[in-house]
Amino acid sequence: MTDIQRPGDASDPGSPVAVTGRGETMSTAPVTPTLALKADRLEGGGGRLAFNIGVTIVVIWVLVALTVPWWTPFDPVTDQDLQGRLAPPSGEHWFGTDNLGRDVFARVMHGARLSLPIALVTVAVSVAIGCLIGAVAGFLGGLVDEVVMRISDIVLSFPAIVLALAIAAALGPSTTNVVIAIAAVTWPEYTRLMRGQVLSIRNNLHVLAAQSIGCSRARIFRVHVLPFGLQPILVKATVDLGMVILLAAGLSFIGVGAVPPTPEWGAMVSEAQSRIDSWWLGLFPGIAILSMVLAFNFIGDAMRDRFDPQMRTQRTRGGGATSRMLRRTLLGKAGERAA
Amino acid sequence: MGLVRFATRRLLLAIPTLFGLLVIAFVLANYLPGDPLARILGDVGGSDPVARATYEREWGLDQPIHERFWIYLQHLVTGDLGQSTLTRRGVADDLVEFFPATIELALAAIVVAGTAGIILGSVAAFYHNKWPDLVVRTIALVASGVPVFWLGIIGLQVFYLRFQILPGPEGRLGRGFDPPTHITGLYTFDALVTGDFATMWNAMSHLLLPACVLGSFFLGLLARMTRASMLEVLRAPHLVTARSKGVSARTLLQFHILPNALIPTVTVLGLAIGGLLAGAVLTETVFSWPGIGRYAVDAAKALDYQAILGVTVLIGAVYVVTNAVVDIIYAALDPRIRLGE
Repeated sequence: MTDIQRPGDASDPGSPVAVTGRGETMSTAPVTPTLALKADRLEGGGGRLAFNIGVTIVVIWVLVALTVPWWTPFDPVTDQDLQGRLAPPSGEHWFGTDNLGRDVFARVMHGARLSLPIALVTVAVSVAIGCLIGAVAGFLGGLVDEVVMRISDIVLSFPAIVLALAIAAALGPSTTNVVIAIAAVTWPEYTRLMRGQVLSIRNNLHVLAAQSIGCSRARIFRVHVLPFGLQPILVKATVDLGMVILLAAGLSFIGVGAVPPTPEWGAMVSEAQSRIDSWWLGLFPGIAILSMVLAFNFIGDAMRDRFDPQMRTQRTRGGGATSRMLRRTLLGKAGERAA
Repeated sequence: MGLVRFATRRLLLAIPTLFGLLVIAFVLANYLPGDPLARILGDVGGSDPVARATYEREWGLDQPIHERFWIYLQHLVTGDLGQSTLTRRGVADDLVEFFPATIELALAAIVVAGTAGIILGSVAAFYHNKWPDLVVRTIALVASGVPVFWLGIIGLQVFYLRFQILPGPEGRLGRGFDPPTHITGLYTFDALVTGDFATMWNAMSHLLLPACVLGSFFLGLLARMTRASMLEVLRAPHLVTARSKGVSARTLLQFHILPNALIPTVTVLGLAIGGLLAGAVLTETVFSWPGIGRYAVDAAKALDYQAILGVTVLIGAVYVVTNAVVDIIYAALDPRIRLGE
């Protein structure tokens, strides 16, 4: 748990004085978000640019997912043309056609209608379960806390895809079961995060104040503790959206996720595996996955930089002289030129 | 606390985790759908009541789940993990046969990604905000989001189909090559030791692409970590002191920069073991690599419950033990960790 309140942390209830877990009072300098924003702009807007690119990509995919049935001339599943199967990209079929003569472009675009909801629902389920358990464990403490933390330790000690693979296999291949399998292996991360938050918030002044005016435990938990712990969770959830898309695509690629006629990106790459000379089959769905994962990584990293000063990307200058010396002596003339 | 005490404590903590892992895997495997007996005993034995009864008694399948778990534990202690319905052999034999292939692949991935990642990260730090830095950061960024299974297929299309400089997805050795004499099960190493250089060369050419693909994520992570910690160290006050005393660049790098900058890398290395085992599940599928990753996938698809159980427990156990070992190495390198406990 973090005993010390960080300046500018949103879980700071706005008071410049925070009571730490051990009961000593320490003053924390109030840093307003606007100041942090200004500093961000001054020291190069790399984070901001990445954030904007990420948001743009996600917005485009969301629009595609919402409108695709109205503008692709081909149906991703039923429009089969066995005469024109495995045709390379052309004016008619931008991304070529697959084994059954279906339009790969239409299938990739329709894939967004699966991957986005799968990722969102999975993360939502995982966050809901994980946070609730973590918050209760942190708030109640004692035996409940101990048991919950041990269980989450164990689940986290499996590599996610291995456990998800076993669960998905047990449940049978379907998109719903992909959601269940991934949520089942990712909830403990939120549990730990939320528990830590609750432990540090529990001793804040405003909670003590609420206790002293006689609020019930349930009310304190609901109104004074839970909302303040949510912000880091949201940041983590955003970063995880990309990870979940990768995991879900991986499960479908293996064959325990979305079943073949469904235009799911991982399943499409899997079909490309047996027709390796038709490069367009795998290339485009793969790029779709990559773009979506990178977009969520961009947004998540930017949010983390913005909300968590400790994790903020190093932008301070310095060490230039040492780097120059090393470049000169170790790499010689070539090193100098590259700079 | 001392290092020995820290190590003992850390290893002891791993035991309940290992046990819990076994429980979860067991419960999960027990809820796989279908009639396991029919698959284990085959078409003939599945309908033979005598064979069914014998098998049920041996594994306690007619008992409640906690009894079955106890029976499984007793078998486990003797090294018996049950029968695979897929290979019709003992699961333990399967794991012994397939695990070295995964170890070889993972080690190769660590070597490739470790070397490249540390070099790229250092170069990026030396050229902070110059173009080499931008190139490395872009590589690291893409590596963090690229699906390994897709990268594997693209790699095959480029290096196998287009340029024909690397072999296709045919496993660990090409046609006409026999596995070298079994010493460690790592073909490249065994072939080298027995002096069979043709086989060694063939095994290495089969290993190269899968290792690069599997290591890609780790490479990106390592490059980013090395860059960040290198930048941090380059700014450290002790470096200014060292330089003002006239220390040579070589000494500076060897004694003042690398030891400090590489500590965080060790943690990533530990995380990588788990990541590599997970990645192996997908990479081995692409390259028909006969390791435990592919075994896990085949077992899961065939609902081969004792095989799933065995392979899940093995991967989980390797993960838990490596994490403990990495924690101990980390504590040995950085006294603050063990003193903070």
